[in-house]
Amino acid sequence: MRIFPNGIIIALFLLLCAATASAQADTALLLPTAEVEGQRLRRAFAGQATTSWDSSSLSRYTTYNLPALLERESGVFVKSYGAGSSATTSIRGGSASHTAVTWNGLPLQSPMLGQLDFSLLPMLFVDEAQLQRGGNTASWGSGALGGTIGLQNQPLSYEGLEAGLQSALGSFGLQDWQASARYRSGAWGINTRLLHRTARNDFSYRLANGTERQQSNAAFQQQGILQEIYWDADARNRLSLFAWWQATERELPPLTTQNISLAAQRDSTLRTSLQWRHLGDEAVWNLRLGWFREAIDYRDELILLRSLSHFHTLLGELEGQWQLATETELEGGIFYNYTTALAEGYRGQQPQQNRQAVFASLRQQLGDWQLQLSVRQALVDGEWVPFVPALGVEYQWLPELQLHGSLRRNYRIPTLNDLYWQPGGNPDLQPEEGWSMEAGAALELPSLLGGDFAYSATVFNRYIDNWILWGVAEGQSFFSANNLTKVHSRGLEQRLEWEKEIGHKAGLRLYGGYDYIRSTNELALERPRLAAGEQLAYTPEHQGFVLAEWWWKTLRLSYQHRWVGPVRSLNKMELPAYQLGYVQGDYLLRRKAFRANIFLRLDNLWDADYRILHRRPMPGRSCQIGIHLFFKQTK
Amino acid sequence: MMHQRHTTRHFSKGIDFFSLRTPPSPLKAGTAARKNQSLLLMKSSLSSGLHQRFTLFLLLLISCTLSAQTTAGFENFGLAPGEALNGSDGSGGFASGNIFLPNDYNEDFNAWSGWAISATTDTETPGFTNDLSAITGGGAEGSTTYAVTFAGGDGSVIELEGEAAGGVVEGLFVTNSTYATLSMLNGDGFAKKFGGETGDDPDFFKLTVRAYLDGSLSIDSVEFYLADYRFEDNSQDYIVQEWTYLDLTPLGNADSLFFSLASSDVGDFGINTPGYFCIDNLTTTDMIVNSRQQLPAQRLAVFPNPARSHWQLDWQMEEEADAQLLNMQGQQLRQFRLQPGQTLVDASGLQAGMYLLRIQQDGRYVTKQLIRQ
Repeated sequence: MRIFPNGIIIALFLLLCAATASAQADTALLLPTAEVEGQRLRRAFAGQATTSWDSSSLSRYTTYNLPALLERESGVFVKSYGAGSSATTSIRGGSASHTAVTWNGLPLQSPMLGQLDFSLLPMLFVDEAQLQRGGNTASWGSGALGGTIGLQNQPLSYEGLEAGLQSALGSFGLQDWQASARYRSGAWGINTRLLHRTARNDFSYRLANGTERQQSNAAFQQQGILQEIYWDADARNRLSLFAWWQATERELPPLTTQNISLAAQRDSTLRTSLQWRHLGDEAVWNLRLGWFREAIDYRDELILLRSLSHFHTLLGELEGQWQLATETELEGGIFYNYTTALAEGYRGQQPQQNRQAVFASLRQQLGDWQLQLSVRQALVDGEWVPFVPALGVEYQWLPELQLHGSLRRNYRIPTLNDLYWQPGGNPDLQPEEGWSMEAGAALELPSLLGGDFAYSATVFNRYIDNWILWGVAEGQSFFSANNLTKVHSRGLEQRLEWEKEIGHKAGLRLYGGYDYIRSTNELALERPRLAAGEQLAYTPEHQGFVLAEWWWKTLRLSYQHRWVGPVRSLNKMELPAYQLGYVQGDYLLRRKAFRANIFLRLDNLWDADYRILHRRPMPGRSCQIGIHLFFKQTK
Repeated sequence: MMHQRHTTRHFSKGIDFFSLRTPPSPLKAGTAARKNQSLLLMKSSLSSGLHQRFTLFLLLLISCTLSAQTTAGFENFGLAPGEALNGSDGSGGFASGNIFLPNDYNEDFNAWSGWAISATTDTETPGFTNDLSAITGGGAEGSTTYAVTFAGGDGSVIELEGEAAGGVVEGLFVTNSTYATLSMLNGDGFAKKFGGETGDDPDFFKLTVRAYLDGSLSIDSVEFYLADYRFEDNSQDYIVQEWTYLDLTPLGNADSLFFSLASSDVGDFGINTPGYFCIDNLTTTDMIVNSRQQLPAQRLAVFPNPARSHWQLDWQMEEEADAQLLNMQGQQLRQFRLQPGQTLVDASGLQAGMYLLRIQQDGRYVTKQLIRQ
């Protein structure tokens, strides 16, 4: 297996150049600025397990797409079709369309598919990420049945300029070029980020009989730009403008049981948003407007097929937050979404969808208790969808120990493809809906073995009825969408974190998690053939991850390990469990306002031979080496 | 619009019986052998006495009428190479010879199911966009046109019509579709390449044919491997890419044929291998009353049927008739007068199986299948 490509020589050269520029390193400036500014778009719901990452934690993933973060330190199962290929998620045993993803507060899931291809989300375009496990459609609307991933952008937290270039080269032809500039002065904040990434993904993999084969038709090319403009009109008003354009051209590789593939796909995206925040005397107002356009151009020369599809969506949300009393807070708002889509499968029709919703949430602090009641009522194309209430409780039992619990109703409306795709679309589909509950405890000990210690455990139980599946109905010869089954998901999630400072210049952090998730189909089905009580396909019962991180001055080394239990494939066979290791090293050099961060990353360190999906090969050991040169000046 | 029926008849009237037609291919030897047996039986009868001559005459009559055959070759649609009919004219199916191939065409999404009639010649384009082609590039025995079906879901049905209804189906030619062949050879985005990653997987793609008679599905079946990779020696693995004759006489009498597919590449949603195959030159046998005036069949009721001890016949005519109980080889087992009203026929002395009751009245006939459990 070829690990070090020719391009690595260039990177080493850059690294040496940077080393000569080395002067005194500074522990406080290990990485580009970690942003802590700005209020949360919407506060985490009381009684819900939540994980957040700031830009410092995310920096280790800048040359990756979002699945890397989710796989390695979130417990979210990512169903990846291979290097560079599409990736969807399963949170708490939910389906790919049960993960809501928001970008600066606006939902990103495709209205045609109800899901998002996470492999297309470069981490360069994310400053903060937040994962809320568990359904919460009362807060986030349709689709948030399994969990919600929030991605946010932020202006620079200080007046000044931060601008840089990053280059990384890696195995299988990876070349990643990034440029970014973040500027803030007076009332203005301007951020520009550019990305160009290519990879051949022509890795070798082993077949069942030990012979090696090289992946073909797997090249990936991605360009993108994210432009943000923040303008503080006065101390009370901020306008933010976001524009995110991105195009990804990728070949779709053959399965291990396929001789050749000539399929390719181009995904183009333009997402724009204008947001206004007003701090009133008694209320905070947020207005978020968005217009997104996404297009997919799928081609397969082998079978003489070309399929074009695209959608436009217009989003608007107005939200107010009132501090009614010292311990009472009210949020309320309205949401509007208009979508139209075009695809060959719609047979000349251009389906449209209008969604309106009103939502409100009351948060009350009662001594050591915090209660939150949220409600949401949506109207989709003039039809009422289930009214969703959510009740959350948090109780600070001891200074170190917090208990939480919640009970929530959730729903997901059918996607445009579920409703209108011909053949098989079913306009009579009902929304999926069900109840979820969770309870948990979080223990924080500021001094255990000389470090900060935190442990949390959460149990959850969730039913989703009217689960939509595509299958072949009696007497039909084609697949169609139907409210076929009911799914029961339950499990235990544990997180453990320990962090210790060693002197002023060094430290150690351990973070790990283990999830046990049983997600079973409750009704016996013929086609798809599912037994009652059977674990859903591609939903591991066991998953664990560990992150061990050590830093000394501006050197940071980390090792990540994760373990995924066996899963059932759709082809009546079980895929075995696998373990993967990852190593990263970062070193920052500094001279005046110039900095160079050099990094080395080894993925699949133990060269595990594994499959996430049946017949989809995954790469063995691979590496990336890169340098981030940047200029940082504060006023 | 229904298509005009095209019938290729092979009537074996008395004198023609000695000049048996050449079997269509060596693979049809089974059919030919059966006919030779009839011939020998007849020759041996020639040296017998008057009674035997009568028997001979009867057997001859029965043999002649039973062996009248019709072949559905689908050439009656007049397709030129490259053309195909997928039912978009809303005809609901296709008739050829004495069979009817149902088709369901959905105008909303331009998709067909059931059967299509094809003369397409594309043996190279993989994928579902080429779902009407046989891997042979044409019909059986040098013909242009053939039929293709999707049987990967709930199977496919061919209805026997007219004189063939209730009769024995001699056989048909089958081959793989281009779509399934190339998928099994090379794999596609859904289905595996046969043999799997290593070439050693014991894969198969199997066609099973059963017969429906009086609403019940036969237990007997005829199985045919459209592809078989189960051999220890991988060099013996094969995918059928020629028209191959399939003898269906073991199925016995049928009102319709039921075709289903099985594959080793199977998932939650059924078989992954594209569930298509092609047929041609399906030969049916015309029933005994083919060229004679028929008695109204609804005037003869039989209960119970199948029966263990006896059948109760209800002859709802005003005049009596001659009745014969025949076995499926056409041999007379009993002869009696059938009186108007109810008559009991003893079944207890008969072996389990199928029998024919033939009623004759003033030169008109009606036959009924009787089943002894």
